[in-house]
Amino acid sequence: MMRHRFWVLPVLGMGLFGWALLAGSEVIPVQYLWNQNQLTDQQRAILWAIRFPRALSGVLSGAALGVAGLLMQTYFRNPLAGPFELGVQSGASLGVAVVLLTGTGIISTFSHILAGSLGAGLALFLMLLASRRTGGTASLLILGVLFGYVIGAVVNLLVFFSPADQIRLFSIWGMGSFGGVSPADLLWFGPIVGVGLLVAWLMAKPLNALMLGVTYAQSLGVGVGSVQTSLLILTSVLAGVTTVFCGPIAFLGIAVPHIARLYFQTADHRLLIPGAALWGSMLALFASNLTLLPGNGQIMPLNALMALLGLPVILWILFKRTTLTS
Amino acid sequence: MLSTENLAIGHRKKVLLEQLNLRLEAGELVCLIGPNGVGKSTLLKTLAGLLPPLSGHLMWNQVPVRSLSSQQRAQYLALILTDRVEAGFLTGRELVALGRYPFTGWSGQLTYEDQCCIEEAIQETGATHIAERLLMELSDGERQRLMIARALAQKTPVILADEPTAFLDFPGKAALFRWMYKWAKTEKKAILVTTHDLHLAFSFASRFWLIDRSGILTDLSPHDMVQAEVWKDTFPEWNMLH
Repeated sequence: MMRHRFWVLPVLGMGLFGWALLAGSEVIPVQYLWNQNQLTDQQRAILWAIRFPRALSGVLSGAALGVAGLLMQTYFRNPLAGPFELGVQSGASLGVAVVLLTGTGIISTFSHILAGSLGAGLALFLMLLASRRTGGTASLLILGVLFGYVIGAVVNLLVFFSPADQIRLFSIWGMGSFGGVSPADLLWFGPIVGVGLLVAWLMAKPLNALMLGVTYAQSLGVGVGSVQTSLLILTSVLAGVTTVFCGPIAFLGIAVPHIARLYFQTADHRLLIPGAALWGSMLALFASNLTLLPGNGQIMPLNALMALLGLPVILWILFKRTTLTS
Repeated sequence: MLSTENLAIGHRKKVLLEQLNLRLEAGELVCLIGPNGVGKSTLLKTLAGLLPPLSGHLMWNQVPVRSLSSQQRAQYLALILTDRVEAGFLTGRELVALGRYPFTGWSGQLTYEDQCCIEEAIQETGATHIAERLLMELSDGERQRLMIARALAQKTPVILADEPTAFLDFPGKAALFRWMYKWAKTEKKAILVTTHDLHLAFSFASRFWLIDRSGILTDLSPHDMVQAEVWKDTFPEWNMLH
């Protein structure tokens, strides 16, 4: 039955992807998607240079953040862990801010990705150290929020000393959007997320053992040191690259793993990793499509919608907490 | 099966126990007893190869533990702890199946032989009725029963258990000691258990390792244990009860 549930998702996802290609101020009839030589040049340009990259970057971001959140919840053994909530995406923002605000002409896509992933990795590493000293579920979240404030303060200082043009670029990026990803960026974004998801799936076996806690996992033969290092790098890259291209998108990372566990009624990572990737993609596409609803060319801020969609899930975890704990 | 030579254990320069020359043999059920805080859990985790010894040597089957891979270790020794397991959507059977971790391939796919080990462990520990339920629906005692089944499914010659009876009700505690006794006698496993259930330990232990409040570990047979006043000094409360 679980496998059966799995195949419903790609179908739904295709629907949402189709909607993403059609949504926007320029009306493109559905049948033109199959019969593209009927499109005008302008329509073709909108479809391939704007809508397709936007839809695809939504899919990639959603999958990457959903899986990053799942990995974090498993190795922190904390249902409230998520790349946004524990300051990992703030760390990536700091990396991006350093490159964007202080960079002088040598800004390449690769340096952005590297800076974002390093920033995310640093934040995650600090949270891992902190989690060994504090036990509670909620205290880790509080630490993450405090950590986010500190990084925000550093970023604000950087902003204060930066020229106006770069501040404008940075603040637009900070609102989160799938629309700023160019087809050329996708050549980086797609393969990195693809490889990251594959590696995550290959680590399903040790992840399943880690659910019992580090000591039990070690006693079962998990090389905990190397697995934790791999997870740290993997999560940093997935969350980092997404943040670099789409801004610090909130709540997806924390909400998606819970939705996937509830939907598949399982804790097995062999199913949860592709499951979280699919659910993450769909939620991201759904939110992205909603931002276009005003229809007159205006786009609502993505993170505002994410907060409205994601907050109920977090409240539900806080009050019921049924998918990880009991 | 497991031996130490001048082993010293503890955390960060704080020595808890030292000069330990211990031997755990096949077919034995050894009970490690002592008041809280003297280092029972630390000793157990050190013997399990999870904490580095401060000094001295630890051998499994005459081989230094340091030279074994994590997979080899997990095929030789299984561990039962009191750590709470929180994995809501795991079923009982999936939890027991994690015991086969050191034997399965990269994807964790179970062979027919693995399935048999799992089924056997579930039946042996009387966990059939909770095998298909989700962990979030089970009590602490029922989860502990599954963790014991998981250790059994690991099919190791040595089992170390840190207060495995902690969450169990009295019939559960007694049953666990009976099983451990049986596994030691019929399957020639070497089993080391820390426990505060002295009455059960007296009925089933082959030997006692008693740690007193001054941090001295004494190796005693059940006969010596009954005779010796040493444990009554360690547990004065016991005298008041009996």
